[in-house]
Amino acid sequence: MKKQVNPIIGAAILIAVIGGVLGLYTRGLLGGRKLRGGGMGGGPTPMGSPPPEGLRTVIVTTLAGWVRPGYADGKGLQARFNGPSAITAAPDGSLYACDSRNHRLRRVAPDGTTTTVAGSGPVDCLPGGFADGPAEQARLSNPSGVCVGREGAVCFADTGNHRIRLLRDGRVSTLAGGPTPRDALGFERGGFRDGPGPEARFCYPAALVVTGSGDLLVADLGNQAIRQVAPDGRVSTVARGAGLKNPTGLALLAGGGLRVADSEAAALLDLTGAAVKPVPPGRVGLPPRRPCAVCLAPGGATLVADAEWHAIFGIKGASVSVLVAGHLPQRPGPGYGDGTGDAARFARPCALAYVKGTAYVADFGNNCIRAVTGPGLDPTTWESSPEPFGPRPPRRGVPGAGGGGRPGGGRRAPGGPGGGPQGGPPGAAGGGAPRGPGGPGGGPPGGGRRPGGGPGAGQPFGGRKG
Amino acid sequence: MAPGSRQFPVMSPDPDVRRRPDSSARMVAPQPMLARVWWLPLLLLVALASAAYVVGGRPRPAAQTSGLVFALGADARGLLWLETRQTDPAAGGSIFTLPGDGGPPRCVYPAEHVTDLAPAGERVLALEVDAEGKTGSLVDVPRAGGAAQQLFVGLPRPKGLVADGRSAYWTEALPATMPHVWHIPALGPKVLVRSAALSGNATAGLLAVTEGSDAGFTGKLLGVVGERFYWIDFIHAAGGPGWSVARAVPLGGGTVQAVRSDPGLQTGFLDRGALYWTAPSEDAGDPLAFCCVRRASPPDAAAVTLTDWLWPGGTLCEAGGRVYYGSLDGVWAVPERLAKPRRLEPVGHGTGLVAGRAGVVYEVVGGAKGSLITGRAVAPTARLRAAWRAISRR
Repeated sequence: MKKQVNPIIGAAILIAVIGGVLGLYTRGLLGGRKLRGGGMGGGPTPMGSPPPEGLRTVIVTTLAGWVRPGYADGKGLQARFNGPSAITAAPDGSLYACDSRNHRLRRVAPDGTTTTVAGSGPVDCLPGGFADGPAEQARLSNPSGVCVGREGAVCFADTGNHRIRLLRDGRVSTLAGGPTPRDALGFERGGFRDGPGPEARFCYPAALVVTGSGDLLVADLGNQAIRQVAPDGRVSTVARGAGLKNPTGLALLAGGGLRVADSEAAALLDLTGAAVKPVPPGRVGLPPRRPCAVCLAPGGATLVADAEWHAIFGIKGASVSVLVAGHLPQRPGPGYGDGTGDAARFARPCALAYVKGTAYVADFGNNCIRAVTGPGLDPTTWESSPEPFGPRPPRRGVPGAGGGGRPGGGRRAPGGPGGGPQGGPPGAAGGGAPRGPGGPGGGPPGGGRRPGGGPGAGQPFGGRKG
Repeated sequence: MAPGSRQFPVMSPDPDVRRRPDSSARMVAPQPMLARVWWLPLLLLVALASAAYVVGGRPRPAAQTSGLVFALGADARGLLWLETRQTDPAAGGSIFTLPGDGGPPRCVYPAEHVTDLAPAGERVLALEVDAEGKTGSLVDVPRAGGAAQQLFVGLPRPKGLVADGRSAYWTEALPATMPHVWHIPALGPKVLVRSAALSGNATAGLLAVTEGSDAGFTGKLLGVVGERFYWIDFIHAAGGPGWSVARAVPLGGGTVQAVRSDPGLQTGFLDRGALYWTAPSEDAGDPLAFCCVRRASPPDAAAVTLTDWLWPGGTLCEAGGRVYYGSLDGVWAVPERLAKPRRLEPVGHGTGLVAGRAGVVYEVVGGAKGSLITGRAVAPTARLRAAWRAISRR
């Protein structure tokens, strides 16, 4: 005789089973792989792919200054900056930096000692002023561009005063630019006029470079123009508008052109004559998002500082873009950290200078000068960085890095091995702690004129024509 | 009669008693008895005073508002606040007053976009902005109610009003001129501290600073000590948490002095020539997660830390000669020397808004419907006064 199951017990079991399944489903224990992976392979980020990170073959160290803002001369980390916004290398191996909020021009000697070479008056976000004269009495306002010109003269863009100024023989003078109308709060608004030095007008001149003929090329940010300043101070306009939006970084190309970092155009621009052409986005790798500064690296490659992603990129030719230092999580944020390229953190890096295998970075948000060294700076070793937040091609021996492709996942780096060389030289990954004073690798920064390269941002007047 | 014995005068009219002098002595004995219990009424008085002191120190509702209170001020004449029914308090609200001598709260300036107020004797000065907050005016409102008068108009993004007996001070601001350029402070938002004599009709710019916020001034104007004006700038540093700098500038113009500088958004308060301010915690592992209260008297003297482990984001006030710190978790008494802070009896969900007057600390607490302003007498006389008022109301 067939045994009947009590219907009440059966219903209770059924309800319990359904409840259990629902409970497991609600807690994500059922179908979790599908939900999490979404066909992307289930990497360490919620989106499924590991975030792009810098190279382990470069080491980032702090050369001068410290995260906390201030104003103090001193050696290495004892020095204090407040918003270093521009940097260039001098032939004697030292660096010149614009200390923007302190309204000063600073010099970092090869032994890492920081001194003030020009500027006086209030510091710490109080407004600067304008005065020519002896360097220690001169008044500046948010200088944000610097290069070393002929006979050791230091040319700098006095951005808040809308002028191009010179430091020579211990005196500061105005090469070009004059007073402009003031806004409701009393700050100069800038203007636009070509002509002899005192009659010319600028609007927030930012970066500048010097050509082989001794002319200055100036990124006139507020006028969305590239201006040329002759050695006698006469100002002319090379290009205005025509794709220029927020030009903030310049580098002379070896072939004679000018490469412009434009943070608003979100692209690098090449200027040949008066024609502005965007550098075609690399076919391989992750391009910078807000290029803020640019400098030349060996072999015609370019280093780019990205102030929105807080990272340093390398661009080789028109095809390969690599994340050299920094880390791009889901929402890239500023930070501070020395170490290998994948561990280093920046905060609004805004200026670059490359000298003898070392790239120097003005780390604006961290109030310090950083140095990037290592074999990873050699463009011949560059591969591409993976697309941000997209799929990463499988790497042998790295669990979880592979997986299926992301459906409709946007651009994908075709054929790129992803992540660049990850092995690194022995000992390359050991530099996590901030260095003491004295420069990266124990050596002085810079070390003279860069051999074999084009006239970059630090090329003095009269150098090899670009 | 034995020598030394006391002879009481015969007072009783009863002839029997007169005949018995000993019994008459027994009858007048209560006088020394009363003298022996003199302490009883004193004890009663002390007990009553203690009870009154305790009862008087309890928080009492001063005003229940239907809108959200987002600014609170106080002076000898009473309490003032700004109240809004909008979801965003930054858009502004109306001015309400509560007289110090009692009486119901009253809206003296119904408006939608008053963003700051400052008591100035019989008047209330206020900043009123347009709907977008881009321009505004300084308004003079009679405390007793009546027609308001616009003193200055067309002020760009005015904020942070303070006033003393002679002058009013506020800030004006211009937003950043270019997006996505973080490393050129000259392109960032700019702030100007402006002053105007209450008796005149001219304004003067005290000093301008760069790198404010696009929304306008986010620091705090403090006031005048010894012919110098003090305020706290909050620097919105690109790529960092920013930092606060307490500054002083001579009223007649001159060199600006940076008095203090600390990371993070901090607040300050001037009291009897001393500067009190919050700073990142000196004891917590994450310094910006908590704050300490420091004091410098005079403001440019060496600073001492008074207490630590307070929640940041509050405000400071003085009542009964003591400084109090209001934060989201209540009101804390700040000790005179380094010690733990003492938390006053919590009332509800704090908002960090506190003000002090006449020995009473007023705190704004949030509610499901509007805000509740509670007063808590902290000075002894204020406590007794509050108790007496409570008893007399009953």
